[in-house]
Amino acid sequence: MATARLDRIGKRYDNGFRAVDGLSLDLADGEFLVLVGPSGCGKSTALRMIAGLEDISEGELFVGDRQINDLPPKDRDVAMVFQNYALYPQMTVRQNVGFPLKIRRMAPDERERQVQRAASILELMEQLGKKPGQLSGGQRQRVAMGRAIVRKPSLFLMDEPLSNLDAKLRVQMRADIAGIQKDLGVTTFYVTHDQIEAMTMGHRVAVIKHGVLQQVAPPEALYAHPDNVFVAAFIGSPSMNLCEGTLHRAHGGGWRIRLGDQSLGLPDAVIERRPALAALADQPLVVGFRPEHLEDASLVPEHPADRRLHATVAVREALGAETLVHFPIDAAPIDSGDPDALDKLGGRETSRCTGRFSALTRARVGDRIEVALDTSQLHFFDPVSHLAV
Amino acid sequence: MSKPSNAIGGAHPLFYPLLLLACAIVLLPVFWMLSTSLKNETELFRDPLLLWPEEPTLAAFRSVFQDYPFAAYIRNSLVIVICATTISLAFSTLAGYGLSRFRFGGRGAFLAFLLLSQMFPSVMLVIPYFQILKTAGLLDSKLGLIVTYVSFTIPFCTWMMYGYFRSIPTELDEAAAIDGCGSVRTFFTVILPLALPGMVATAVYAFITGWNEYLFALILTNTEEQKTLPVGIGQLIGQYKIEWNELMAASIYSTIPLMVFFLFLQRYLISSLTAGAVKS
Repeated sequence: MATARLDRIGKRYDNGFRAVDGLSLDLADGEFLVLVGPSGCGKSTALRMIAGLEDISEGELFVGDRQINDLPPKDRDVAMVFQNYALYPQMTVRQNVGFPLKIRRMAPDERERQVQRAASILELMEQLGKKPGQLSGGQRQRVAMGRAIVRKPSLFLMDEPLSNLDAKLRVQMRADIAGIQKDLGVTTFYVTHDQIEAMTMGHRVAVIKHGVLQQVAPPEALYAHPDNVFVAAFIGSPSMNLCEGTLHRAHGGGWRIRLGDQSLGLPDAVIERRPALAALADQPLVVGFRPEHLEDASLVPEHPADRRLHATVAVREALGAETLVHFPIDAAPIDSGDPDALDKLGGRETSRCTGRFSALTRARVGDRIEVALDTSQLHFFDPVSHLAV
Repeated sequence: MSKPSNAIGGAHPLFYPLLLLACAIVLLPVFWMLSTSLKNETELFRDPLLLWPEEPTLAAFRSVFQDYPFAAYIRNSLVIVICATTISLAFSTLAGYGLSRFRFGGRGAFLAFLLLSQMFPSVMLVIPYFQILKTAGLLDSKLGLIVTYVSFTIPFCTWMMYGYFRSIPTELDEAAAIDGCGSVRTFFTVILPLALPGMVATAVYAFITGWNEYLFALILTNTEEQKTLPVGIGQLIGQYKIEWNELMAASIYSTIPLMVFFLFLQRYLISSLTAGAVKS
């Protein structure tokens, strides 16, 4: 039973590099918080500072009411699951899982009881006598989890535990981990670079870029109301389409959005909900629209004609349940700040957009098609600050 | 060139003949050593040479102990080399661990120094060592030779253990720390068992270095009571005459502890111990 609080935590190295800067987070007891961000953004460093494996340069760390900045890892009552499992190779599964209890001088029969309990939760009963070298990746991962849960600590820390597993196993383990955390009710920090894990597992998700917190909110809020361009592009797969656009008044009232050489109508509600938007009319803005809000216009003939993009299909990916269609539009591309995004290849003047079309679409590469865009779902961002409007 | 064997088929036809030939070439001197040690005086110089004595005798094996203080030589060598190896191993293991896990001022210089110190030709150091041991009153003593041999082997043993510890992932230390271990416990309970293969290799190196060492043992001892095995064997090479059969018998005696040492330790040379600890 423990709350956790990070109060302007920072990590600064001798050469001046700041891996983590002013990170503040408040976790309720039993909450599952995901720290997500691209590689090198400082999320693992933050986790290691909570564990006590790295010194905290600035700020304070609280578990419950205790400030624990200077406590060594063994006194912090945290348990960690490592990306590479870090199992003790010379010990059996039983010994690995029971090791934390042995260090704490638990009596052997009580220890065995706890090991059995953990093993049954994680379905490791058959593996107890084996050594890590004899196990599969998924089994090793569960042993690592067993070693963490056997202690009933105040905090769970998980450092990308699923990234070394193959895709199908990852999907299953996601659900398993979330279920175990819910049953045990232990406050958990979970670090990942995979935004799907973030969205599916966390009560709240904290998006981090270059050591700075961008936004922390429940997954649905991050998806529907991203605070800035980075969060908008990072959350959601395929990524939100981002490009330069200009807002202008239409002849005879109403608003339109110009994207490159095309102009689409906007419902009035869009402007009404965003009072600051009117002030940014007639100048370049960052406009975002999610692939799921695009559709092959031929499949939705009732969609208004003035809310359609005209484009030529560049790439088509048939996934079975849906078809991803990629097409360029003649609007300037936007750099979201995600170092792993490939939008900046080749210095293009056009933006590459992606749409999630129904599997029924008959669009082929090279076809000139009309793309229905739900303009009520547009996102707008300030061109300089990249903050949401 | 095809591999010696493949998964399903048998070995290349020339593989075993070539292997046998290589073994024969390597073992020939050993065989000759054995055969010579079993010959009596007259058979040693027979022309044509005898491959195996017609009248094998163990007389040489006995006279080695009767005519020389051979038991003392063996005892001295065993005591000195076992002590030197143990001390070297203990310190180099601890130092190697510290160097691989911790960052501290002078670490880089220390590592470089370990290697540079190996570049000295040992002959250069004979007189300085003599002086130092003389001042310390350690000439002609087992302790003096122990100290000397430790000083020879520790730098390289440390470097070996340092290299070996670097291959043990630091995540294991971190996991142990989180599980509740302090530094000492982490080292002895988690890391040391994984370092055993490295320690065995290091111990073997230190043992062989000490066991075969001749020059310093010769210079730093003078009474028969304190001489080591290599020095003792060297004395069998007289100015005018060499007792070949005794020399070979003594050499065979000398290799037995080494063989025992190897046989005993080889089962600890399991390099696959760390497989499965960390996803690689």
